[in-house]
Amino acid sequence: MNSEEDLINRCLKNDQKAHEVLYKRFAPKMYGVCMRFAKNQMEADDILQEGFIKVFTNLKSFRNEGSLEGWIRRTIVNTAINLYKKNLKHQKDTDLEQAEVIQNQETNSLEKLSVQELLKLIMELPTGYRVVFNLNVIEGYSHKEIGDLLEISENTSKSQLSRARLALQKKLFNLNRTKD
Amino acid sequence: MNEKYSNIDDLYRDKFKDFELYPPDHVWENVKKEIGHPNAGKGGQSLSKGGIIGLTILLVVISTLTFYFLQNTIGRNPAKDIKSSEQSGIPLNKSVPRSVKSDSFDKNEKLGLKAKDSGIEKYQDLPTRFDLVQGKNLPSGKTSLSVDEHIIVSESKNGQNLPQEGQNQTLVDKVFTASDFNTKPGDGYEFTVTDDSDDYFTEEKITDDNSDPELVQNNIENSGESAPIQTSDYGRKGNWGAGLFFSPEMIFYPSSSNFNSRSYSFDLHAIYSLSGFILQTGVGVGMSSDNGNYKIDYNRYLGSYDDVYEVTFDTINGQVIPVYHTESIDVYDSIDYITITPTKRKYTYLNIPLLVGYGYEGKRFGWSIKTGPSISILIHENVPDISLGDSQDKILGIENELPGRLKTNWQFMLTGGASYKLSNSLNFMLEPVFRYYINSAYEQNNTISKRPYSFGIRAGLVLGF
Repeated sequence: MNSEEDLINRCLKNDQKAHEVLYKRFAPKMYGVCMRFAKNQMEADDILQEGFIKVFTNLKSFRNEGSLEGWIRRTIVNTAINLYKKNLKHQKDTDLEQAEVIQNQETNSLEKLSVQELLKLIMELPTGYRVVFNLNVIEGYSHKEIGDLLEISENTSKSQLSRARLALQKKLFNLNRTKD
Repeated sequence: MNEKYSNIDDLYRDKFKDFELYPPDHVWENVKKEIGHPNAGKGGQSLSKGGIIGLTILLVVISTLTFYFLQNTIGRNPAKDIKSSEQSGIPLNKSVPRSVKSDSFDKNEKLGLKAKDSGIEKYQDLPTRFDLVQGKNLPSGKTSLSVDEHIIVSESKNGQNLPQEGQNQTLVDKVFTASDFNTKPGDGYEFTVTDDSDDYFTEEKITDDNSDPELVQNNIENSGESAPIQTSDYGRKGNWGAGLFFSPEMIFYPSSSNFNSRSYSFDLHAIYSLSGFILQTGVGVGMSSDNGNYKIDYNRYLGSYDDVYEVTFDTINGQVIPVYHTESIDVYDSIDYITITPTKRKYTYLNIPLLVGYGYEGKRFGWSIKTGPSISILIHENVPDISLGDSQDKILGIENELPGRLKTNWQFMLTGGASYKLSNSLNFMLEPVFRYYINSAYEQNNTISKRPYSFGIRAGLVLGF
């Protein structure tokens, strides 16, 4: 069970041990992705669960053209997007216009912020902001790709990103001020 | 931002680059259940394409080997052969030659003859029956045979009729049983045995007053002796038949009575019978459908406008003219609407059963009971398109209230039915069919995933070879 290819082949043969090895190898990193896209841990659990079921059921479609981790990550991200779209009509992004422009922020202490603190901030973002921010800034999707994925225009994507940044800046400012 | 993080993007990108977090254990437990790990308490995982092909080949190989084994290794008995032919529901074909041991051995031994002297092989083939029926080579004094007669025919060799030690003898060397004339042994028929040859006997009557042909007694009138016709190790084969069936069935779902559905199937089966035991397999095409609904979330289309996305300027005749570049933008109501659309999905399955059982058939009517597994492979799925008609409304989401079907499912089958002989080679069969689905035909995690069962009636014709 050393090589990735061997692991995939064994998974395709329905080797239960291989399933577990693959899950345990990639689940922690993917759970980090899920947490960024989710608004809470429960939602992250759901995304991870749904995502890995898709990974195992669609593994035969993986063609070794890229890394397995990249393929799993795309599957997880797509799962998160689907969940976002599914829940879209139930969400009320009431704070869309509430983000204030925070300028000249004291940012010397940014480096000291933990990942958990940053994660908390991102989870507090309105869902639309959070998804666009994650897709563009961390996952590297272009605004056109985001528009296609979320069925919104490029301009909307840009606008959401801009507001997400402002909202995060505000939250970072408040966090730093609290710490000080 | 500080030097390291000139903007918030870099901060997040860097911090989350290798971010890992261990998920709770229950996530993996749930994943295991969903992908069908047996130790997670759920089965029913659909077979891969290779698995299906392998399984089909395995079924065919097992069936072939079983048939081969039965044909070549089981001890032969003519009396049972008669029963076998009649009990299987496969009509007997009288033209099939069979190898029998002549009953004349016992008689000849009584007459002081030995088998080797008789010139008869221990097992010999009786090539024709029809010659007799058509009045050819009949024993003297007889011009025809009625169907209720068992005839033992004598033959002479080299014109010598009297059996004498060391000489060519008249030999009773052929035995014709009731089955040869499509009659049923054990019904008390009186059989005439005719021999025109000698002083020992010229005619004998055999009363078949026992249901077991092996115990049929013969009475040799002239000799005054009575000796049983010995049952011999007859060489013989089982009977083949082919059946064409139509089966309407009703499928019941224990967890959702509203979801009960119907299916229809056409089956072509090969049937082999031996000593009353039946082996039946074949292929069938089954059709079923699901009625359900799609729940469609949508935004109503309100209209469109031309949006100016760029303005350029051109000069015409010295005048600066603005050129507006526009694109049509559709406008939708911001309120979400929901509509329920009925839908019907149709499915076509390839069914492969493997049934074993036992049967009996009388003169006209017969019965049989069979059981065994059957696999159904989904070969075609007709899913209607989902649309909102001609409207330009924007579909936001579609919730399918119809659960998906698995590619394969297994059933345990039990059939018990009756047959009616239409002719010597054709039977009509009618049998109730019960199926218990070993795994649900539907994907897991829905309300109808509990194992369903079905009742149906299978009607068809069986042709004997």
